[in-house]
Amino acid sequence: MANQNGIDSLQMFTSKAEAVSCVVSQAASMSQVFDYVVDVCDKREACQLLIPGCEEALSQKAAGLCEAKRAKVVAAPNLSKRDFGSLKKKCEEKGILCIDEGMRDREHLAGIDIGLAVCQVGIADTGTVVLDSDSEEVRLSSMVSEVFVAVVDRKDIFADAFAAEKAVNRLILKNSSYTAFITGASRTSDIERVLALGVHGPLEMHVVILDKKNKKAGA
Amino acid sequence: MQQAKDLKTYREELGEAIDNTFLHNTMDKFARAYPQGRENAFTGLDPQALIAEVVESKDSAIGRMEELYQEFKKNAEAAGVQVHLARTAAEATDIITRIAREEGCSRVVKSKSMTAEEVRLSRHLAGEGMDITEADLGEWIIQLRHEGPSHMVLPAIHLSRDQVAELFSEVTGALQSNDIEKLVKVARRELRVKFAEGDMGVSGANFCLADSGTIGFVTNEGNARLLTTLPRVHVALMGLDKVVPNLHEALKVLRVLPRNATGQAITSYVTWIHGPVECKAARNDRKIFHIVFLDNGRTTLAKDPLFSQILRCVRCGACANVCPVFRMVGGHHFGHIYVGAIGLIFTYFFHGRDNAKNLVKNCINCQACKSVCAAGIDLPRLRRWSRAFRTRRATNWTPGC
Repeated sequence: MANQNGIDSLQMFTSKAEAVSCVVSQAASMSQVFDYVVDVCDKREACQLLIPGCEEALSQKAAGLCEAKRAKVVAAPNLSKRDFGSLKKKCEEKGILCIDEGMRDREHLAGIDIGLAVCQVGIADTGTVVLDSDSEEVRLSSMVSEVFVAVVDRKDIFADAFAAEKAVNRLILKNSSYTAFITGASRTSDIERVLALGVHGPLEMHVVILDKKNKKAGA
Repeated sequence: MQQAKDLKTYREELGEAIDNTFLHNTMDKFARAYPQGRENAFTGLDPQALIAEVVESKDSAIGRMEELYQEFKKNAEAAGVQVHLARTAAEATDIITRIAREEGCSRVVKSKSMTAEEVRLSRHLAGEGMDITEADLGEWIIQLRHEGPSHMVLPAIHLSRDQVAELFSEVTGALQSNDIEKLVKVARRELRVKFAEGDMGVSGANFCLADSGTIGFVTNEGNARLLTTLPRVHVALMGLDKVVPNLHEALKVLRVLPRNATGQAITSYVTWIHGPVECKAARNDRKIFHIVFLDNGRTTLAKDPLFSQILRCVRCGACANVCPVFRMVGGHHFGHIYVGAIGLIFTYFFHGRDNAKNLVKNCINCQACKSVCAAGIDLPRLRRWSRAFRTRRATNWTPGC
């Protein structure tokens, strides 16, 4: 794969993603990524488990779904077995439930804290990550999480969508496929054109750029 | 929706719209903000050059629409999708109703689609006794108010936060404040239940890639991702004009569409679906996936030397955003279903000359729409022609329904 991304693509990706309210950081290993995820989850609403929106006055039916949640949850369905084990261990130390399946269960559908996914491609000029979402668990965990954390390898960041076209086509052209370009949190401006985040999907998006050659990086 | 029977009634309605202070201020604010947002989004790029690429790409695709449709159909079917072609709006709603019945679906969750508006899909499915929920926030709001969209991208732009708070108070049975962030959260919770319970998701599409039979759609809210994932059946409805040869051509449109529509470099989500994907609510864990193409006059339009260019339209809404008349009266009075400058022409072809006759008089020929069109459509010129058709009946056209 000819990918001549240097420092420019990295900088461009970071500034474009930040421009759409993404929190961008770097990590030198997956272990650092997991520390970051556990840290973000641990610090979130430390005193409560309330799902965003559930503090509002809701119809009985909508409020019913709010009662389903019992613990802080991190979902990471597309990690390797070994990586998932390592994340799960770190989560358990903090009393966080870590899952890689079961997103369709009512209690998780109501809302989980963090969805973590390793993405296949980054597009610098729009600050976009491309996520192979063939797995239903991946689709759901990246949508019903309050915070979505995307990991993308620095070497997979392309200057623009045309430069990434071959890599994207490899995802799309599989026998059946669901491919997502994701650029920031779920957003709407439908009421008086005022921007509001998290209308259906994540309220926050974080991107961790994995650069195994960069020993100094620390997310 | 504009449907005044005569010019006198239409003028009275316009007068009321002009006297609506909230609407006036909102449209004014939007008209001032839009050009700056667009300019920022194109910083460092040459918009005219990018638009020229869209023109070339779309013209080429329109020129071989039938062939590209056949290629798409072959590839989508090979991937396990059921592909349908509806000649008219009525055929499209019948096909989708039949799919729902055959699959035993009664709870439909739908994302925003102008093609679905064009055929009045929601009204039709509701009439068939189905429980249909518009999942896009703006569409949900206007559905609850029994209104049509007043803008292609911002369907509820004519409403204030107070009106939405009042509406949500009725829906939840609990008093809501007019805090926009809170209202959005209320919608998040109320609609999450609908996604969980839905058995059929209906989406539109911005692109259909012929070389693989893949559909692509752009969204910001992400509702379309949920409703193409949770329900066991997915029906995608789009016009034949959405077929492009491959990803490369779609990316040319994607480079212009969000920038021109909302001043974004790209929308939060761009989704590509190829074949029936994993769905744990369905038999054998595979989604039941139907794609319905709508013709409704497009095949005939594609062969017209002058009017074929309207099939280039990417539904960005820019022609409304810069129109001084739209700014004065809002979308409900400046369109039948499709609004803005392109709406004047679409109404004529898709919804008939009777629905277009008053609307076409609105153009003051200022050329603002032409200068921002994402697809380089010569809107003022076409509007003059469609007006001439109306008055002289100098046309071979049999407009749609």
